[in-house]
Amino acid sequence: MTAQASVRNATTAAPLRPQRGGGPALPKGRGSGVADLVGVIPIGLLYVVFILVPMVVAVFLSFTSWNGVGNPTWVGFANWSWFFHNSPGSAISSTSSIWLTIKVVVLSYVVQTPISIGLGLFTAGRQRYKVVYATIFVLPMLLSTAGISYMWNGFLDPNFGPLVPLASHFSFLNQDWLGSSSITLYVLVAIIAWQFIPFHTLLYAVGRRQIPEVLYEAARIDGATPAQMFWQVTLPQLRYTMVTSGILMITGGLTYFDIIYILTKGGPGAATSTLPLNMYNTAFQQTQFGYSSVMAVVLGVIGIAIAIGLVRGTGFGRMQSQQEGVN
Amino acid sequence: MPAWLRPGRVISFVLVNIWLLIVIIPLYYMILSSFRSEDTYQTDNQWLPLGGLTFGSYTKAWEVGMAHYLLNSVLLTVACVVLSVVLSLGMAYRVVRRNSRWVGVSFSVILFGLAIPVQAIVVPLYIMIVKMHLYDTLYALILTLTAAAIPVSVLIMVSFVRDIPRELISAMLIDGGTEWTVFRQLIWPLSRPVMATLAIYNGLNVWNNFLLPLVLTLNNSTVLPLGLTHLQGSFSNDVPAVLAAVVLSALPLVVLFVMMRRQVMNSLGGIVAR
Amino acid sequence: MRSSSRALAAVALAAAVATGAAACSSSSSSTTSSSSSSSATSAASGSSSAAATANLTIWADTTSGGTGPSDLALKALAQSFNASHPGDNITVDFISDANIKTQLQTAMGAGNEPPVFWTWGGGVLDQYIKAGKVVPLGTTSTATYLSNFLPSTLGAVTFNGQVYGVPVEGTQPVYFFYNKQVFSDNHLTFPTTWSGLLSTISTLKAKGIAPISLAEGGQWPGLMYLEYLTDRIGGPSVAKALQDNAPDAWKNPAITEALTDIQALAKAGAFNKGFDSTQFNGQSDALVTSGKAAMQLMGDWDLGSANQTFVNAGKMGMAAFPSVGSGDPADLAGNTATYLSISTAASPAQQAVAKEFFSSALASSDYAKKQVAANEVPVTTGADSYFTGPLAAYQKQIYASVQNAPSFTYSWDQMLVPSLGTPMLTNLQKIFDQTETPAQFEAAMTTAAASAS
Repeated sequence: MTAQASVRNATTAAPLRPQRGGGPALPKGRGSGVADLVGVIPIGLLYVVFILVPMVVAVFLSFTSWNGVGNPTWVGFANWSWFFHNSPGSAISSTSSIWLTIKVVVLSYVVQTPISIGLGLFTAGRQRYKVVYATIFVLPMLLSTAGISYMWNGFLDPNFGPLVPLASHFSFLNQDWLGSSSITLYVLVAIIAWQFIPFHTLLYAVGRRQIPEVLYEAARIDGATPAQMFWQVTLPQLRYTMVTSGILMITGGLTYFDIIYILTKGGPGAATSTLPLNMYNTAFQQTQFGYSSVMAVVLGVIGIAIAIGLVRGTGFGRMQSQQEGVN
Repeated sequence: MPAWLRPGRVISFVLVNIWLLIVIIPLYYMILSSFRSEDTYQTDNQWLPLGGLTFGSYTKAWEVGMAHYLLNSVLLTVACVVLSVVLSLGMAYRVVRRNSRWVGVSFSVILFGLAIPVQAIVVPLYIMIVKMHLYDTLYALILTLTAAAIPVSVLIMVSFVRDIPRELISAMLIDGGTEWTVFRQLIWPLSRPVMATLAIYNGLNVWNNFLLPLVLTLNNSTVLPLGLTHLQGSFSNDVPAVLAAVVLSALPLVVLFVMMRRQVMNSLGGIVAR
Repeated sequence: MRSSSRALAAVALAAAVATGAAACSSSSSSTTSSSSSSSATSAASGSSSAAATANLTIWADTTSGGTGPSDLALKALAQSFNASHPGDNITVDFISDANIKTQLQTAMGAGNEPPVFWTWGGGVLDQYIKAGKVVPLGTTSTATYLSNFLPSTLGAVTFNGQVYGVPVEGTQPVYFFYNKQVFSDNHLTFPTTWSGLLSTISTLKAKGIAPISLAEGGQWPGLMYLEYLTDRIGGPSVAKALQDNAPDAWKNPAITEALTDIQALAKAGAFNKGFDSTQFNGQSDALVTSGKAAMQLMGDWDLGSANQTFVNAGKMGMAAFPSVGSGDPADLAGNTATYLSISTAASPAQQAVAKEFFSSALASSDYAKKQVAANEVPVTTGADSYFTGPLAAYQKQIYASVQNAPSFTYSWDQMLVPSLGTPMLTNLQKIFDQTETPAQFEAAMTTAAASAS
């Protein structure tokens, strides 16, 4: 019996989501010790050497003052105190960069999630014409971040861009899209959404496809309206996709850097200097690696806390708290 | 009223098509402008293909050295995608099997990495890479970018593999299978959809990556996004040439997508597209 | 079963091919091109014997991908040096202007710097010197070739009496570059006083022309206004106090007045629309050459970066910053030059060759002629006799004004250490944006100066 066939059988016979916890423990197969080593050591080594060790070094640097040349000088908690006193003397205050980061993350989530769900459900449909839509929706993913940035940079140019001739008829188009201390942040959120919605649309389309049709049949038989089917069948079944997509959006948004860097470098002034931008500028423009390491650690801690919170709070972690072996 | 005229359908149809326009219009602008030259860009109509259209900007962009950047980007992406997908699937299988406690602990440690920002570790990474004599090589980028992709990859893989019904696994084990055969004959084939999705996700992140190439490479191993920046330069406003370079840089992915569309569509759960 | 093992084999093959190709590509490219690390280590690990020949790489700045006239001039100089010094091989690696500071910084931090590198002198070079990374070249008495350069141009690389760098690109003072046609069409001559400038601005605004093109998106163009206004209002001592980090140097009333003037200008709409997102990558030039804007305050490299047809036809006017208050209108601000320095990581043989290159090539009249042909204004003495060609008039004017300037203030963002220069630029942009007051600017800068390294 092929794997696919047995999946189908198991799915129709058993409850729709496989059991979690409960039931007898699965025995260890032969070769499980070796399998553990082979499966975990190489990837673990890569991770430790190139992610953990540098992070430890960054923590160390946060207690030093270093301009990148020569040797770091130990300064104890001075940098930390500087940061938590709203970074006096810096043109980008710590509170403003944290607040901007939060804004970007929240706005990105609020904008990208509903649109991705909607488009994902749409493209998950099996009608032939939807293939055309799905193909076009994927196009932004074929451009690199730099490519997307330069495209929008040209499109939104306030002096020579294509919106300028239109602005004589529609005056609201006459904006300094990428140089305004009031609207540029939102423009960037929109461009970032343009970049990432295609990916999350894919995630939701895959998630939608995995929902067995029997549920919809049953609901239809029970006389449910499309709205009811959406709220009571689709959304609950999409829960794990929403969690994955949400984790990626939030942790991605916290550390998002590229488009902002290429388009505004955090400007004008400090209007788009989120914490990652602030960190980069402090390190590589201001050559103050001690200060920037403080920001790096803060960013890391916030991100870790959020990641753990999301994973625990949404049941991903349930697998980890089980006593017996599962699956 | 007929089904297709119901308000819900109409609204969703309108919204979907608005999004379609939002996607297409800037792309249209870019492609059209790439066929202009630096002088005519500011004078010709920017919305209609009137006036002189030329390939000049494409030759200009190509001559800057795009072939070299393209090759580097392709090699880097393929290597990172293959490594990250295969390694993370292996790890996910062991995590879900939970045969030893330390595997679960490793999983938690790796999840921490989800939140570690690359910017934070860039300077220490640079120093390490130089000391390992890997500066300005593709190896530096392959190792660091694969490592950076590990947390997300393991997360996505675990969430998928966990849904594989236990009954299948226990059936194979009872039949005398080893952990390896369970992996090879069950987990691997079933994971094709998620491998495709993860390949897309990681591939794009690696393809796009800007900061690590900026810090870890110079001229030899420059990849495409950095190459685009070189072209943009500080003092050149040749918008058509930059856009032509962007279009050129997207071509490999377009070709790949066209060739692999069937697999991609299949991995979207079972339709057989054309 | 079979399909999955085939798939596995395919994956393994792909991985092998990819990593193998990566190895081939990186190793072959590193042998065919001389990257700085390989040539530095190969030369450093006991290369030359008594003849003191060496291979060395120069990291140089480019704004045109290594193909611009200035880049080619430097390349040609290196090639003729190699030809006349058998056994020596000098290669120039061009790094884009946007990246060079960062790349050099990280290279210095990891001990991976090239033998010879480009800087703008000032605070950044001082950081490297204090960390023992730069080779002193001597003084004008001990290294006589140094007196081939105009004295005011060595100030940015002189610390504790020692010279640490040699000019490589010409001098770059800042002037107003304006569209002559726009001015004559509106019956205007370029103003020589501040009030004249203000009335010119309002005349132009009334005609729907953006009076001043400003690329504040890059932050540094706005600095030129602060430099000149401060100098004209308070004299060069104000900037000197900033450089020396004198107490309350940032609270000087001249600075306050300058900032207030700048803010008023911006509020009155003297600058082009969208100046905060306009970059100096040709956009701000195009505004002037197309007549949409009338003038731009910019360094003299603008003669090379603006539309060459326009410039060669003599349509670009060049004027000094107007007089304001009691300051000397002959004072200049800008980049006195850009420089090459030798790093202490270079082997003794490399250092000797580099010094030979500096003294015999960079200080030579041959190079000055090459620079003139690339539309630069060289800072070697006697260069004014080489000015022929379409830009001769501009070059002569620039050279004379540099020779005669009572003071030539170095660009503040180069003069100050980066931990001070970077917040200054950001705070200044906020002034242009009306999101900060002069008082806040000065308070912030005073705090930053107190802890600057």
